[in-house]
Amino acid sequence: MSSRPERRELERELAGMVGRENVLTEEADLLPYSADHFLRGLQHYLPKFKFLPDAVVTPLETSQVSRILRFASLHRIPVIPRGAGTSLAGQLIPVEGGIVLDLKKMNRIEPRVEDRMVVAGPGATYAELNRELERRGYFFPPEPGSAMACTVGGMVSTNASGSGAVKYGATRNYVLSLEVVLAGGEVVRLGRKVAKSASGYSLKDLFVGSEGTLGVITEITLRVEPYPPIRRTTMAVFPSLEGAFEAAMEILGRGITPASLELLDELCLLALNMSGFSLPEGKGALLLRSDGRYREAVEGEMEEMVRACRGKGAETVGVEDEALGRRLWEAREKISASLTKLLPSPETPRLVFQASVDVGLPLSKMLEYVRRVKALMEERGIMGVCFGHVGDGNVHIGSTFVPESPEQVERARRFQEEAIRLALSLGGTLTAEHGVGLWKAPYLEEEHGYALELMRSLKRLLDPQGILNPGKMALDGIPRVALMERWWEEK
Amino acid sequence: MRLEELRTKINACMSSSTACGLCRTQCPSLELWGVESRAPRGRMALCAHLLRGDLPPSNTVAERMFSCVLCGNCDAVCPVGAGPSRVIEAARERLRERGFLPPKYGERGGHVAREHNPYLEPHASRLSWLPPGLHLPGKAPLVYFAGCTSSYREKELAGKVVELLGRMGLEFTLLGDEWCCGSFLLRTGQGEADGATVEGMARHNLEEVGRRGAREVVVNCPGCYRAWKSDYPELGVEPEVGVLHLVQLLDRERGRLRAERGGEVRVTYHDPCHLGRHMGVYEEPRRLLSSLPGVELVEMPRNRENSWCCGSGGGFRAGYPDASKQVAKRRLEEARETGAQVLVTACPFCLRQLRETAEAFGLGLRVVDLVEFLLERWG
Repeated sequence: MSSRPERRELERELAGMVGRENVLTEEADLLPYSADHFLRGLQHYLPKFKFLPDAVVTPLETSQVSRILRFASLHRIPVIPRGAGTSLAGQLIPVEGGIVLDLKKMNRIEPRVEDRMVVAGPGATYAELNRELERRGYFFPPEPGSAMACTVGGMVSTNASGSGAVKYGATRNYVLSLEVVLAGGEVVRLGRKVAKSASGYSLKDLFVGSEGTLGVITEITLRVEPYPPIRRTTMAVFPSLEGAFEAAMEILGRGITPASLELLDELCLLALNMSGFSLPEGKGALLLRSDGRYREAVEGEMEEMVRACRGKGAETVGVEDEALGRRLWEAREKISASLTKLLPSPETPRLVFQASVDVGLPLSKMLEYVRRVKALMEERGIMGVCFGHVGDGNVHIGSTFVPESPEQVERARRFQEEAIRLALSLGGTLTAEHGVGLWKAPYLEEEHGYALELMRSLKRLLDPQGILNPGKMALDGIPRVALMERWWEEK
Repeated sequence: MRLEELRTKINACMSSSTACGLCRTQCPSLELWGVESRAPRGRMALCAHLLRGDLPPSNTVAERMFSCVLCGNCDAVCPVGAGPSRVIEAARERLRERGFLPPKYGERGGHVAREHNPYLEPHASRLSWLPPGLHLPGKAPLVYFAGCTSSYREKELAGKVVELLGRMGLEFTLLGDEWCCGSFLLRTGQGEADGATVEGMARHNLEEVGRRGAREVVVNCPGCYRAWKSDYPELGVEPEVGVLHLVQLLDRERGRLRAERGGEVRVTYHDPCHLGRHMGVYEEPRRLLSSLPGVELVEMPRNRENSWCCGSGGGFRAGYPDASKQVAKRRLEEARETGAQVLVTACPFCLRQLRETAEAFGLGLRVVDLVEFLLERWG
């Protein structure tokens, strides 16, 4: 093994592998890669939070990725694979510098609907993939909140999902086969391009949700579903949050599996109304979607859900108005952004730490969890919101703080830590869909216990030099940045 | 843009609930180069660093800002209204003030100051498009402002505009001394160029309108339309006359149109960014096309506020001629996939860009301006 090369030498070596036009080393090009969705805001207000990579490379094909990894392994240079940078847990932060692999150019999409599958490069966007599939009558359903921008590679790396997961499941349920480049540059194919297989260990599943810590995914084969041509959306607004939960439980208890079953609290409703909607006032709401192939079945299912909601005192909108239904969905996708409308003034720097808590709970524990979290918010003086995918036990909590104030940052951090630990104590998981990254690494051991040691053993086996996305998922220690204290110490 | 406004927009984007990357969904320069520093979110991050002072201005930073087409697709999808394209425009202005204006734009800006057009042409030949023998009155209720692109690069189109207005029986005239509207300067960060300001140009053009006694100004260039209708008031120069894009005038006066000739044809309409996304004019050209006998109007999948740019805006065609053709090619392929035989637009700049690209790549699609299309079917 030789030492890490100087930047100019690194640039020259990388250019030899992928061409000069696919290598970036100027500060202006590196800076946008020093953060992801999670860290950008903090970096904006606490400028010392700058984790510059040494280079950014935009490979075009697997063989180039292989050469880069062989080289990086030899010189022990960190490699951070990256999609659209929409991650919410700091998965993409180059905490030790190194080479960011921006996989945007590996964006091939090859629909094979006759086999009910699609083959895609990691840089293909979810939206583009679904445009191609929908033209052929199919779709890839997980629908994360970042659906318009995120990449398929990013979705596989974080096992992403969203509002469609209650009926259709998360990304993992769709991965049939992966091509992966290992740390030493070896190219392996995991799984086969077939609907099912009972052959050997399912190693592809090890890489789903591995956040770039075990290898670089260079090709993805996904199962696809027939696109449901009939869709109906309704919003039910309740006089109490409990009423919304009770209605949700009743819907699920009746044996209905809606296409989506989303919960919004009072502040979310307020934010939506401040964004131009005229929704009824209430303490909680459910956004319901039903889909399928047959109109009668879809409308029948929706009617039953609406009855359940009205039985709990809800006022419903959108049942007869498909255009409003579509607008409600668009609004739901932008709920995080709408929350900024609740802030006192746009000039006042405030961070909305939205969705930074995305715990998953047993359905029976959700109401208790939300009640206790709201009590915690009040006790700690935190302005925050609860929303999420109530159909699959996934709760998001967003809270705001003034980044210039160390006390507020500390208060927000402590609150979020308590919210995560509360979920674990109720038998939940610390992340249902966003992944671990940097931000949740400190709590991973509390959830997994000795199983985390097994994960670390696998990491050492597959990445003995520890070059792949270091600092994430508590696999090789926890960087101080993940503990947050350092943020204001260094200000 | 005032500093506070700039800061507010950047703060809105950078709050951790956003910086969401939705603006990556339809960005021509991201499609071309595939890197974050040439995507709206990356450019916003660079602007944030510039504003904080922890990134020095440089030619590289300037290049990243000038490699944007300013189509505004990012503004349309931004969930917090941060308006990346406006921030990029403001960054161009500040980079120019610090001496980092790419020379190509500076040369053209200087020419606007001296000869009142960015095409490096003499002012004296501005009216060379005028059809011989055309006599226009000294005063009229309507003034046609041809703009630089029609006057110097799409002369035939300018001639057809006056022909169409004449056939419609409208009483109109031209300015005695028309100057550039200033759009090129505003889009390339040159609110001031060699001592000339856009405010000054606006005042000159308005005085010329006043001399004609006109109540309305009609333009066929969407860049000019945005300048007159939106930028001038923002600069504190409020036109005291009505300002219309030609499609609005034609729509209002469609009872005067006699475009009834010609066989059956399938057409699609390309929304110019300046007319559609920036100014909200979407339906008038569609109403006109749909009302023509034998014409079937079909939409491209990306239309109205989601329309894909032709690749020529924001100084991009001048700065990146080859890359800009790639953007246009994508639009033309979309148009062809609709099965349309003709792509109609309402902008001399889009017309030039799309027509030249269709020819260069042999795409077999006819590109025309709405004015040309209406005249072809007159009778």
